[in-house]
Parts: sequence; structure tokens; C-alpha cells
Amino acid sequence: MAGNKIKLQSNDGDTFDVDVEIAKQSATIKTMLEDLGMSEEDDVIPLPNVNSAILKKVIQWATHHKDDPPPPEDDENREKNLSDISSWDQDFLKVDQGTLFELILAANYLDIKGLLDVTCKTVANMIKGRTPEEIRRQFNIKNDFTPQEEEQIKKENEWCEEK
Amino acid sequence: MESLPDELLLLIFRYLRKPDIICAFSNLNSRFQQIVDPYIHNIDLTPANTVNYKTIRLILDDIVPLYADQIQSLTFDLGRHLSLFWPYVHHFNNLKSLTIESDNTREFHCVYQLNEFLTKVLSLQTLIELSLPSRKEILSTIAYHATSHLSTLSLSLFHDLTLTSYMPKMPYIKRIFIALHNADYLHSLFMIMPNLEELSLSLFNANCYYQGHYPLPVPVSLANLTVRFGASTEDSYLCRQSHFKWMKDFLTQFKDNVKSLTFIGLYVDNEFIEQDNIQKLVQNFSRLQVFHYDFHTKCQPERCFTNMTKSSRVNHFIIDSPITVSLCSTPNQLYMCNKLKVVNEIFDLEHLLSFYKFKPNYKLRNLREIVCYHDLQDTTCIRSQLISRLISMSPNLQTISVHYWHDPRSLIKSFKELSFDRCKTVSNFKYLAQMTFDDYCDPGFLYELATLFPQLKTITFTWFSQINENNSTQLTRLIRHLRKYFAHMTYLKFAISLFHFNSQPLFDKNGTMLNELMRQNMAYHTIDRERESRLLNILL
Repeated sequence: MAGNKIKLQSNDGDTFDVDVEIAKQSATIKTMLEDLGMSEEDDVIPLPNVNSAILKKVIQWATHHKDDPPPPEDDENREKNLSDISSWDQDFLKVDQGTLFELILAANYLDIKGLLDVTCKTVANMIKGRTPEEIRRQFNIKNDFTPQEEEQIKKENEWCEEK
Repeated sequence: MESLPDELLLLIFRYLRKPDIICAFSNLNSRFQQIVDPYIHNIDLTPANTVNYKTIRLILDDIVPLYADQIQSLTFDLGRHLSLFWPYVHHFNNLKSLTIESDNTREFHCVYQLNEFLTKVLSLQTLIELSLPSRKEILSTIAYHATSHLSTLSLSLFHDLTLTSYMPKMPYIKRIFIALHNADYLHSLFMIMPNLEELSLSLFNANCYYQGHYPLPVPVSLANLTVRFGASTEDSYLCRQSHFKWMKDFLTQFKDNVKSLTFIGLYVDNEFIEQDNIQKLVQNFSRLQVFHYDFHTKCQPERCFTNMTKSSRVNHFIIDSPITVSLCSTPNQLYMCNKLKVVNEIFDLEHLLSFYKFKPNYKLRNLREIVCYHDLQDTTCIRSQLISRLISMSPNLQTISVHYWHDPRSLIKSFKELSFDRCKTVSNFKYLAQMTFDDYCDPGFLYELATLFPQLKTITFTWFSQINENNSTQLTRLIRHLRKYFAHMTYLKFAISLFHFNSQPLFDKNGTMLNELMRQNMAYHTIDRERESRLLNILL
């Protein structure tokens, strides 16, 4: 293995050579390397929750953002700005919904704050200002209310229509 | 989306405002309903310019009918939302807390409507907390209509002359948060609220001090007292020099009751920050267990307190009234002001420009609005260079107002040359020069404006001057363009002269035409009535 490279293995067996500094944007991998005593010389780091297509995308994102400053500490009360997504990230995230949600899962598992932030923002932009019916169509959400519950909903809506 | 675990859905929801979450995910299926239920408990539609009409309509039409019983806390804007919520009041059977906010631009509006609304809402047995902007007769409305469950009251800028000790007593009020124009009101307030346990009092007016006779009838039960005191402007500070003694005498009125005192002083003078004097403020208190103090001052204390910090920002000392940039303007003045006017007269502003040239990291953190009364097209003059510089130094700029007529495309060109495109924080744009409606509706102009100011939430134009049968068609076009180009736009406003308001066909006697227009466009309007003009607010 090259001195400053590690091997990451996806859950379908593919391995990827990645610069250590790029891989360390993932707090999960950083912890494995630093706290759990894994060394860069170890053969491979298995990532059982990420398939190779998604891992490839994650590495592509991390490589592009390798020189970014560390993301600021999360502040739950601060209003989040949904429009500050760079044009590179916007293009990068022009993917189908399945890939987008898998990227969120991977960013969460690998603990990459910047990627999680930008993918969540992208989904939030898809949600903002939509009605339930639009959301249902856009994300193909199944309705599991029973006919009785549906009837109840209609009934409770009636007073509003009568007013 | 359903493949994501709840924790990640909640993470995504943190990027959205609660009304958007409620509207998007209610009644979808049982899993999403379970996730969204807690958001329904607390509905907050403020600040008013962050929630569009579509969202409010969805809440009123789809959420309230089904989930009114779950809504425990409701917050909305007095001027913009009151009449929308009016028909729904009696359905909030579990409402515990109601907050009605006001941006004070409609200070004299809605008095009657608010009192009428309150008579309905106060009959709700569950209501225990009420927070309101102060309006005439508001306290008597509460006194006559509240149930005995109401225990917490918050009133901002209270100056209701109808408050007297003869008003019906409100023994059920245990906590009051109040900003007083005049501390003399306290006498009557204590008489009608004899069981107060907590008083949070703000005194920020130079003439607000208690002039009545001591002792004050302080309720025996009053154990917690918070006093916020001081000034928000430098001028008021000058009037405040001799008020240490006044404050000491005032606080002494509470010496036999209060167990916990919090004293917050803004812009206080030297007397307050002498350690011995701080202790003198409470030396006679017999039951005091906790005393917190927090002073902000420009004076140099005689000795350092261990817990003293030097503030890098003094944004609570900002000058509220606008400053006109002139020969006499100093960098310090500009630093302190939050609204800056640039006029058409030519001043020698070289001294300001040179000052800023040598301060590359200098920031005007307090500046919120720049008002341009001059021709922006002359981009090479010192005034324009200065504006360009000010913009780059103002990280918190929110409003840009232009009062000088420009051809819309030239205006955009000037904005670009003056680096207005760096104002990514601007949420409010006012173009108050006379333009034709074709100018407003020019898609090229609106597209470029949206590119320059992507965060715009409010746009204000002057109402077109020509009487035109097609005004409604044009207004519809404009609304459509705004919705298309501005992702965050919630308000379109028109400043209208009284003459045009009365003479144009859009505003018939009963507002029927305008109402119909709003219905067609899925928008909602309110009209602010001033002496000489009207402001038409269209919630998009």
C-alpha cells in the first residue's frame, strides 16, 4: 500500500484506493484509523453499509472538498440557509432520488458532516412549499390509512368547507 | 424517502420551517403522521415574511379542521394574520398559549379587531399564557373576558391610559412580562393583579420613571422580579445620568417581598457599575436569596470585576433614527447606525472613503438598511465608491431602498457595477420611484433582481400612477413573475397615494374587486391606512 493511501471496501466487494486525508473527512474512518488502532498499512477498511456505486460518489465528493475548512459546529436554533449550495454540489447531486437517499444514508454512516448537510438541504428544497399530495407524488409515499380513517378525515374537514 | 430512518427524516426537517413540515407531511400515512404530530402542537407563523399564503391556507384548510385539538401553542402576526385566524378561534379547544406579534409598522391598526378577537379567544378554558402587542383598552378587554385559568400575560410597550385601579381585578394573573412607557402604571397594575408572583419589567424610555407616591402596593406574593433598564440610544444616555438614586428607591419598594432579583442595565452610567453601589441597590432586601446583575456600559469601571467582559460589538447601542451620509459623518456614526440615507446632494466624502481604505477588515455590523435618494448610474463618483465599500463591509444588511427613478435595466446594471451582488443577506427591496406597470412586470428586470438578491422575501413598489382598466391583469402577471423568479418571496407591497387609492377601479368601496383578484391569484391582502397614503400588502 502506498504511504498516504488506504483501501476502502464496499459491501459488494470492490476496493478503492483513497488518500488518507481525503478519507479522514469521514469521522467514522478517522476514528477507525486513530482511535481503534487500525493502521494505514492494514489491508482494507470494510464499509458494510455502502455499495460501490455510492462509495464512488462519496469519494468523488470528498476529493472535491478535500481543502474545505471544517464545517461549523451545528446549531439547532440557527435558521438554515437552503440556497447556499455550491454549483458544483448542485451538479453533483443531480441524481435520481434513490441515489440521493443512499448518499444521505452513507454520509450519516460515514459521518461526513459536509456531505450530510448538502444532501439534506437538497431534499429539504424538494419538500419546501409542497402540499401533501405533491409530496406523495414526488416521493411515491404509500397511503396506509384505512377507509374508515379516510372517512373520518373527510368528515372532520366538512366543518371547514361549510364555514 | 420512506427508506430513511426517523432520525434522518428529523435531520432533514431541521432545514425546514415548522409550517412547511406540517403542510407537507400531514395526512400522508400513519408513519409520517406520527413524526409530524409534535410539530402540530406548536404552530408559529412568524416572522410574517417567512411564511407564504399557500402555507397559511393549507394550515387553515387542512390542518386546523383535523388537528385543532392538538394545537397547544399558536403564534402569528397581528396585522398580517389576525383576520385569517378569526373564523377558527373556537376550534382551538386545547390552546394553552397564544402569542400575537406585531412589527409595529401597523401600530395604529387593528385595535378594534384585536379586542374583538380577544373576547373570543379569552373564553377558551385552556388558555393559560397570552402574549400581545399593547393596544388601547387591551387590559380591560382581558380583565372583562379572561377565564380564571389565564395566569401569564406578556404585554409589549404598554401605554394604555384606560388602566385604572377601578378595572376588574385579575387575581388569577401570576406572571406578567411588561414593557412600560411610564412606571406610574405599576400602581394600578398591582391593584388589579394582587396575586402576582413574577414581574418582568422593561423601562427603556427617558420619561418612564415612577413619579407617583411611594409606597407602591406591591403584592405580597411577588417573589421574582426582573428589571431591564437603560437606553437604546446615545442621546437617551445623557438623560439618564442621575437615575441611580431613582432606581435604588424604586427597588426598595420590593425589599420585603422579592426573593429573586435580576437587574439588567443597558448603557448605564458610572454610578451603577461601582461595586459598592451594586450592593446598595439590594442592601435592605430582607428575603432576597438570588441577585443577578448584568450591566452594559461605555464607562470605564473604577476597578475590574472578575466577571467583566469587553464586548467587541455594541449593537445594543445602535442609533435608531436614520443617518444621512454627509460631510460631517464620522466612521463612528456610521458604525452605530442601522439605517443610512444617501442623498442626491454632493458632499465631499473622501474622508470616509480614505478611512475605510485602510481598514480592510472593518465591518458595519449594525447597518440594516441603505436608502438611496440619488442617481445610482453615476458609478464613478466618490459617493458611489463609498456605497460600494459600505456594502462590502455590511454583513447584516437586510433592506435596500431606492427612491430615485431609473430605467429598470439601468438600475440592474448600476447595482452590478456597485457590487450590490455581494448583498446576499438582503431580504427586503423597495423601489419607491414612479414606474409604469410594464417596468415592474419586465421579466428581464425581475430575473436579474432575483439573481442579485436571491433571499428577497419582500418587495415594495410605488403603485402605478396611470388609471388603467387592465391593472388587475397586470397585477396578476406581476404576482406570477415574482412567484417564478423569487423562491422565498412572501410579500409584494405597494405604496399608494390617497388620490390613487380613492380613484382607481381596483379599489372599489368594499374591496370586492381586490378580494376577487386575490382569490384568483391565491393571495391575501391587508391595507395599512396612513393619513396621506395607503400601503397595500399582498401575502403571496
